[in-house]
Amino acid sequence: MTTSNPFGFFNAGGNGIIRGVTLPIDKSLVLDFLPAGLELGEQNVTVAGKHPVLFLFSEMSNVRMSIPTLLSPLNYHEHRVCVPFTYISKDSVTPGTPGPYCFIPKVYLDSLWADLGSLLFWGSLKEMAHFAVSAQRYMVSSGPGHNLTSLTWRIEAANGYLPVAGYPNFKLVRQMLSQPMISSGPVFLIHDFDKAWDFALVRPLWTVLQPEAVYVQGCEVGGSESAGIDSSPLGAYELRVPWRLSTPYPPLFSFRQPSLLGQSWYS
Amino acid sequence: MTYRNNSAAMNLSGDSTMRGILIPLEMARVQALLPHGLKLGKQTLTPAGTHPVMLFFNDIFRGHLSIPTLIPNLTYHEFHIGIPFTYLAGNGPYYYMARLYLDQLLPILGGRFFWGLPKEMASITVSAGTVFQTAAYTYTVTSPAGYPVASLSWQMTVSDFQVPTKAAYFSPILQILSQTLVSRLPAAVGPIYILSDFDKMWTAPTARVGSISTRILMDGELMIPNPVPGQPAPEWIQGLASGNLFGAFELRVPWRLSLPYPPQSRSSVFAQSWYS
Repeated sequence: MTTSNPFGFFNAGGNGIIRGVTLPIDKSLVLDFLPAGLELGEQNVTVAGKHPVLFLFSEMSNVRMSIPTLLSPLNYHEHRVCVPFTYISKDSVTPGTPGPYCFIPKVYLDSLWADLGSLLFWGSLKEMAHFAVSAQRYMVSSGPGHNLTSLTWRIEAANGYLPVAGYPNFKLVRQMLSQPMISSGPVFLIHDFDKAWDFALVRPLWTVLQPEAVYVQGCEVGGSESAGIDSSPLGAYELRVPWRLSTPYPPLFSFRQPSLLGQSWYS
Repeated sequence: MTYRNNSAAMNLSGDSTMRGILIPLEMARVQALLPHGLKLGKQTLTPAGTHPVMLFFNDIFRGHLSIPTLIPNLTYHEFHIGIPFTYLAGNGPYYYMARLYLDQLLPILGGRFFWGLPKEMASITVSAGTVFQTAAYTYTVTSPAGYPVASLSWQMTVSDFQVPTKAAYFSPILQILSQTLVSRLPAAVGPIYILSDFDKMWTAPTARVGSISTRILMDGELMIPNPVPGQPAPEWIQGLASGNLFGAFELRVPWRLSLPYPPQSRSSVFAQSWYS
């Protein structure tokens, strides 16, 4: 959210440890993740015919509203799949800046309060899931014996935490993570999911993403290995960053121009 | 739907990945799936004494009306049992959907109360794993009470995708899928029969079909007998091919569903789909 965004006055904020993998997936498959009224746009992350999809495995802590509430700060896990560079199609009834936006076809979390808050203030009910996180593995399951996906990672001591500018390949990831989130319509709303990039730390991860169910309809991807963000823009990473989530607002009042993507209020 | 079909002015459209298989069942069993008033008609696809039944394990994407509405996006799974070559008062052939199981409430309500399709809620999951030592996906349909309804396992590799209208082996299925839907109002109960055109955009750039090796498990009233009594069921059923009509296929095709209209208003020109 920018300084001129009045919808940022009321927000939720917290700290995140976000482990992310960017996969290039066939555009025809990624299009199936989108609702009617959204389309994929130009992007500079993957080769033609493919589109980047972010798989984020997060640990959120100290999450609280910007106004006083009776709720204690929340700690929870969250797994989300993000499709950046989505645009409102020309035949949509929603006026405003067409994009680029980040569409979230699937979110899982394990906090009822966070889910209720999401429904109450952001109008979207996320799905509850079970999470098991160890030092090198993050597993998401819908119930006993029903694993959805997992991320296993390895760290090399030589590649430690650095500010985001320390890993030049992370610039493209930052560009994608800075795009406003867009709802599933049919009247589209957006909200800013800003990160305090000045305080963010990143380190490369070597990961194996192993989906065990097609939990995003149409996403038929097998297990995939990713090298670290230090070796490729499509590499895996662990990001430690404070974040804020604005309240939803119509794209008509988009406060961010495409040229400013990546330069958030915090940067 | 044709350019003559006024009911097509407003329609529901979307995209789909359909995994289907045609099975021959005894006519008495198939007739038992039909409501009063619908009769099985002549067909040449299956041996005498049997009638073709289609099983479809579908992924439906971006279903939306052709006019602006506040209805949210409809992306869901749908399993259905379809009976082609059915006749209503001597008119047809029509395609009757005997059972439909979906995992989203909104298309169930719309389908049942607007189009008269007998849609029911189910839990549908698609998982990746190993079946008979082969990497495969499994599409599992479970009733709300937790009972298994049907499942389809299919191998992940489909190498011979073709344009549906140019795949000779797909021609009989294309003929079936071009038949007009017949359903019942109110609420899929009857007694009023209605028709709607469920057209597929066969020539769309994204339309393609390929054969897939599958393994199907059905339960309850839908149980399929072992093709050879006394012999174990085959691990994998070979895909649809020129010499094998009873194989499975994966079809990717955009579709449009017209508004329902009464059978009396149907003219012969409706049989010629705009897209076919």
